[in-house]
Amino acid sequence: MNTNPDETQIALWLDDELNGAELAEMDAWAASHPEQLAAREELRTFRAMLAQNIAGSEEPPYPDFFLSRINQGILDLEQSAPAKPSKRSFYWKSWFMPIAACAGMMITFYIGQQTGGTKPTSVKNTAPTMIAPIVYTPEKGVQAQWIPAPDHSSSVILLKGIAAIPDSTDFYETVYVPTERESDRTAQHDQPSSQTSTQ
Amino acid sequence: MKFSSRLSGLWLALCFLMAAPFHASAEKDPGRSKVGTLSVTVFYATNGDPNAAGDKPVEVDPEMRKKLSATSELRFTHYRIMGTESKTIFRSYENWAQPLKPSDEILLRFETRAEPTENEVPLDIELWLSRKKILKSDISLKKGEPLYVLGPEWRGGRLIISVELAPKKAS
Repeated sequence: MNTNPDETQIALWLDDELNGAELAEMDAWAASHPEQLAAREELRTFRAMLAQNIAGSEEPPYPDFFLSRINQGILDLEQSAPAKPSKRSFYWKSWFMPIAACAGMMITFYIGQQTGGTKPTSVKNTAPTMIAPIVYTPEKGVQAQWIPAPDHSSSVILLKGIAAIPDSTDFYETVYVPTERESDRTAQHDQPSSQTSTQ
Repeated sequence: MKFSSRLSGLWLALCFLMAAPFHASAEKDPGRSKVGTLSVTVFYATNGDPNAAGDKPVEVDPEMRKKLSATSELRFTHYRIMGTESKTIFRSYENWAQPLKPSDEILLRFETRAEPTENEVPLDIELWLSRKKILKSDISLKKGEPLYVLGPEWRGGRLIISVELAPKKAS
């Protein structure tokens, strides 16, 4: 064999799937490739081990066999008709089943009413919940934590790790500091200059 | 002559009709419509001498004191109002509040995040301290339920930034 076999050919040879001239060619090639011979031996050993432990597969019977089995099964059922429930028992079930179903539904409804009666009260008593916002601190070392007030009248974001403002910084020139009189209604102050400012 | 003057008049009217929608759209930008007012206030809170902030800041009223001290983390002996600013919340544009104007030490950028309702405005806010973006959040502000941010230390106390929906003015 002048040329090396392709992978498919090698795989078939390893699986002992080749016959005749192809097998002879591959055997001739493998004679100069001891690692391939070893691999084939290993696979053969493995297959033998599998065959010992797992029962060999049976050839499936013809579809006609299945059909004949099904037909035979139907015939057997028809022949065993006397084993069917008697008309008397059917009659008994015909009136008992609906009554049992109705009784079951009524019991379930009663239990549901007894246990579900407290639900609306518990819903009413629950305090309004606040949805926690996402807080993100892009500055390294700074942490933020959101806390709702106990009475849900406000919420707080605690900033930790932020640099202190130097004491030398003075806000004395702040433009708008409400007087004591209006300090309680600062929220109503609405400046007319509502243009979008930029940094 | 008569026909040409009629024709020129027709052209003028046509040009006016064509230009009118553009003019109107530029004038009535729905994104600039007001959906509320945001009030941003800076408090100086301290357990020491409140006069460290100077003599200009005023003391908060008892109701505000009660609100601030409702959360244990914000409980201080003295509270002073350092400055405040109320700015319009636009439907789609951002806006900035500068409560310590002219100082830009504390800035708050905000814009509407979702459809606001009568009593609630979902906002994206950014808190800038010393020209650095320190905090981003997607808070949903309800009327009468302010957000307090416990901010930086200053002169032995802490600065608290209050962000609140301003009540509508009585018309």
